[in-house]
Amino acid sequence: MWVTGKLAMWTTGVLLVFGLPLSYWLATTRWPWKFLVEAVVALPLILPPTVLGFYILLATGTNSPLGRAVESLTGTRLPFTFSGILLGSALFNLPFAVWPFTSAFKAVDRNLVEASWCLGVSRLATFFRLTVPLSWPGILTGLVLTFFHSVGEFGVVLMVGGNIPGVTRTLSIAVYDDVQALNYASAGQASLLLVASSFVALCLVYGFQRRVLPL
Amino acid sequence: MSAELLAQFLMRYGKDVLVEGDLRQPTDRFSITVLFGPSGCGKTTILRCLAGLERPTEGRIVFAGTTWFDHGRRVCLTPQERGIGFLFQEYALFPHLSVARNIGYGLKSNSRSRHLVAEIIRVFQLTGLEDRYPHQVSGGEQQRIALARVLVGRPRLLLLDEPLSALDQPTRELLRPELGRLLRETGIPTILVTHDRTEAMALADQLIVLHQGRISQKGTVEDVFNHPVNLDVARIVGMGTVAAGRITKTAEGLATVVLGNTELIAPAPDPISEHVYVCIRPEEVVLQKGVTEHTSARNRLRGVIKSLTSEGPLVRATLDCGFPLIALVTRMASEELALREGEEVTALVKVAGVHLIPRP
Repeated sequence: MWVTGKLAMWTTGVLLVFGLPLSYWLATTRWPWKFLVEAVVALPLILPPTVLGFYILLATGTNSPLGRAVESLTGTRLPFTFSGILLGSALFNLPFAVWPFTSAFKAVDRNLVEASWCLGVSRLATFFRLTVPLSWPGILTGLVLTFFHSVGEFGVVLMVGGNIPGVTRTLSIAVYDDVQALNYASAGQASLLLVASSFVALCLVYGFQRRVLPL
Repeated sequence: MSAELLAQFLMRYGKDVLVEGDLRQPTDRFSITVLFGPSGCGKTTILRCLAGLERPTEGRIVFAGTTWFDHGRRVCLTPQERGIGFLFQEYALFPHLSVARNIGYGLKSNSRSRHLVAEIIRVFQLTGLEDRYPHQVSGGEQQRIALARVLVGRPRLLLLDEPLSALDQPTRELLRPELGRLLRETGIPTILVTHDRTEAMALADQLIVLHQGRISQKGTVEDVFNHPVNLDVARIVGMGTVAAGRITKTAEGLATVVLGNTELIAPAPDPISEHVYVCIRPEEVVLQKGVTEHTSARNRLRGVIKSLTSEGPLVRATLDCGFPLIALVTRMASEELALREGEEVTALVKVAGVHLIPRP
């Protein structure tokens, strides 16, 4: 339970920091080849989680240059650790954060941004004073979707993190274990919790977007 | 160091489309350059290149000795570095900020800028609207807010993109003279883009006519309107008489205007200004030979026919009545009257057919 919450929060945080600039770039660049980046971002949607997990495992293992670099820098290995599942979860949730961010940024009137520049306000300050305030319902949507989607994460986490209680065993893996052990009561509790929290989260997202709920 | 804006650049889109910018304007005193032309002729592109929002493909832009853009030397200052004021067509007010915070947006937040904002709100007659949001004020107020926001930072050059086109017709009529007055008071050199003939005439010191991305003609309003260099310019400016005149007296809503050695009566412009452009559409002029019997037309002008050109079923006659007057009559009427170049005729113009536009 605690592992699940921690993973979801970290994933959301990581995608906020890295997803916002990436989304802003995707929303504003005129680079003709940006569709390549968009395709990579969307890949986790159609790729089986186990495949993504498999590649992350390979890429971060002790036999790969990346894995060795991380190990020599930080002294920890990525596979079967919390950092490992965080990396997998962040990559897997990329479209859930980047898509809402990007469409929110695209909806900001370009004239407003240019007006801000012409008033002498730097690009970075314009981003925080204008773009973010005007697109925050979309940013919120991305964050909520990311959070709850990573709560329910299964395949990638299992592949990269295994099933170590208290370290990499998340709620959805626990449900799987319980069912395997014919422990239906425990599986039912965890499942109900996931359904209820996800439903509430989506209600909030749609409520905010339709402006039914006060912002 | 020359106190001048010198811009000469080209903007290419793909292979065929091209916009040419070529203008110079003093930077140490007030004047308005109007870029005039139909929609899609590249006016806004020129403005955006000057602002640094668009990067020309070739050329140079130098403002009072500072290079803003030089293709050869790979110089291109950002909009932030140019110190310009850009008024967007739809005003681009920030919807999440109050009127006062919109105006103060570009200033550092300190007591001096709060004072500046308060001052400009008073000058622009926006008092009482400080805490409203842009969607809660009228179109005319939005325009003043946008202009105040641009001017409060004391830009060195003002770029206005169709400043009145977002307003409805009556408001536009009302605000046109006011805009001219506000611009004149600030004294900041201005480049203004418009496709509205009246707006161009009422505001321009220098007029630049654009056609399909190219500069077709440059000059004073009178110059361009009366001597279009080619048919394209003539079509764009709308062929007709435009002459500078001076109002000598007004009474009961009618003004007497002196042009050269002739006098005309016309509906008085609003607001009344001494110096005006007299505009007469060619189809409003009636030609007559011999003595006039009774007629309701108040303006009777004696003139000599300078030229006659055939335009399908119509004939365009240019008269010298102390000022050049253009008349458009049918071929039949022309033959019946036996109009010849060098002949003297009487031109009749109804008072309502004379349109006065205040000029700078």
